[in-house]
Amino acid sequence: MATLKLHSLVKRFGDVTAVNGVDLSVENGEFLCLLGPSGCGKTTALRMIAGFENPTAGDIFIDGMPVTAMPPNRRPTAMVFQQYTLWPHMSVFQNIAYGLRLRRLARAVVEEKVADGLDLVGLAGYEKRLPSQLSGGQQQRVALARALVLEPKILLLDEPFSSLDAALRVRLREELLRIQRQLGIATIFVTHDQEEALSLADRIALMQLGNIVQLDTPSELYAHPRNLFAAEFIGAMNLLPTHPSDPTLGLDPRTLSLPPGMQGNASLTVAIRPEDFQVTVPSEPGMWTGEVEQTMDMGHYRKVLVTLAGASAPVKVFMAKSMEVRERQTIGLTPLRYLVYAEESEPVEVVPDRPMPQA
Amino acid sequence: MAGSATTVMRSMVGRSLRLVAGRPWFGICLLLLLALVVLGPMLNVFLWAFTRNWAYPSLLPTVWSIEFWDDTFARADILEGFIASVWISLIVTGLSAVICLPAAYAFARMQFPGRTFLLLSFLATNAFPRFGLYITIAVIFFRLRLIGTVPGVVLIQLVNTLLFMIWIPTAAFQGVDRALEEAALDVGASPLRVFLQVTLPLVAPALAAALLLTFIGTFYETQGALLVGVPEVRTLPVVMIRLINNQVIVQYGAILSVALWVPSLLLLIFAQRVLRGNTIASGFGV
Repeated sequence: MATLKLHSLVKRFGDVTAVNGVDLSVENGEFLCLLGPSGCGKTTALRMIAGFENPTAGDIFIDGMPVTAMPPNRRPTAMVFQQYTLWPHMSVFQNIAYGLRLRRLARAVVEEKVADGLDLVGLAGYEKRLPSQLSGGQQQRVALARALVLEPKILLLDEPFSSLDAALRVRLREELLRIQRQLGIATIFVTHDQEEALSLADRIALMQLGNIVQLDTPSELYAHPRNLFAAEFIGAMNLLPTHPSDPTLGLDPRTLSLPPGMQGNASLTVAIRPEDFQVTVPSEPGMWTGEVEQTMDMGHYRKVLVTLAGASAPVKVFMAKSMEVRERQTIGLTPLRYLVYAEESEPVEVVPDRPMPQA
Repeated sequence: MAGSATTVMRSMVGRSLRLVAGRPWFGICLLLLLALVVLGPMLNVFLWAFTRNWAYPSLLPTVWSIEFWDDTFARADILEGFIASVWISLIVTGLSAVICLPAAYAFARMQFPGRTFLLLSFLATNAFPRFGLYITIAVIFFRLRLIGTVPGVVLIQLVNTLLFMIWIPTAAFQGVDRALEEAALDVGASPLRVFLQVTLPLVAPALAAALLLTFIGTFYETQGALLVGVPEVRTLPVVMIRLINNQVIVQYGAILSVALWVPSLLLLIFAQRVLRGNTIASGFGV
């Protein structure tokens, strides 16, 4: 049971600022994802927590104790790396036992803990194997066991499943979550895969250019992305640049109600999730009208690209498969819910059926 | 036109290749020819080592004998040369390791000004005609009174070992994934322990290959030892050259050749058993 606190953490490599003043606290037993595109500083932040990078400025506290100056071999953290980093000259047992032996534990205790660790990751009986005799997924499980047997205060994972194939990735995700819940260990998971972050995390810290853009629960982050970057990065989103007095979309301005406070704004972007459209065939007056450009069967739903008159890019629409649409068909769209982003201010959520929020 | 010409050419080449490939005797002939060129001289030396008399037109020795083997190994200069060679090779290999391995680690892991230049400079000793280099070094050694001394021979033979002992270990250290070392740090190993228990075992096969190549190379090194060591220090190859130059008896040289061939063969067999097949290649970064 432990907490982690990052205080104004900064890391510069020469002229490049990788992490630009990150404040973050992770609670007891919390599963936190650092999410962002490559180069956003998420891995650097994780490596500073592990002790592999020295912060240029700022402090790291574990359980309230400053650990910023502590070398990685003394920190109560354990890391699972992106590549399978099992030592190839050691057996599975030796790999997992290595850290335990360094702690001068009795032989019987080491053996018991290794067995427990392997049990936890579902690889009991694999003690004598060499890493080269294991599949990628098995190797990463052993790496997880190697980290967990040390009973670290904070578990760190750096894109641990990114080199595995999709099905295995999903299975290991579920397994990791089960183990994390079972042990109640504070966990920081770095990923660039928003789906992975959404499915695992208690909270997601979305990073861009070395800063945390938004720190929220997955559902909040999905429902209310704080800026356009977050809106575009999390899930699928249609971003429609628009202007109250200049309906560049070629849409009837009345159908796109803008919050009162924003109507004078020079540049606005309307963000609509593909699942937040109601599709009507045929189109009726007052609706957005568009031509179906492409339809894709996604299994349990249908993805449709619709070209709106006057719009530069087609909008994505997710719709139920019970409704038939054909390519080249003209359909009507009604946004059920959308967000309006203006520069330099918080986005406003608009749900047309409800009274307009007063901004 | 040109296109069709090449097409015709290609189909002709293809046809003739197929013709050849269909006849196994062609491959066998090639193999025999190669064997003759490669093994012929060795076979000749081998036969001479067991010969008493070999009259000219005969394909094989006219009188076989092993009597010269006793004669050869009864000679004091050969025994002394053997001992000198083993000692000097051990000293050179050891010194080379002490000097080169930390350097190789630095080359692999640290960034410093002139790194590439320095790394390439070790090629320089192999880029010049060896003997010219040795003569200029010998001039300096003469002033330093190193001619005819063991330290002199050791120093000049060290020059030869630098390339293997720097380049192979450098490539090996570079080949160690940093994340493997970080993982060991992460579970609590001190940096020294990480080096000893993770890094070193991972580069050990390549280091063994480098040490072995250095030892064998030094054991057979002749030019430097001849130029700097004579007359006081005589390694085995130097003794052999003298035997061949001064004696009319071919057998001494032949027997020594065969005898000298044994240790390197044993070492290479040992190497193949201990090292995994691709170690030497991986040492070169292939």
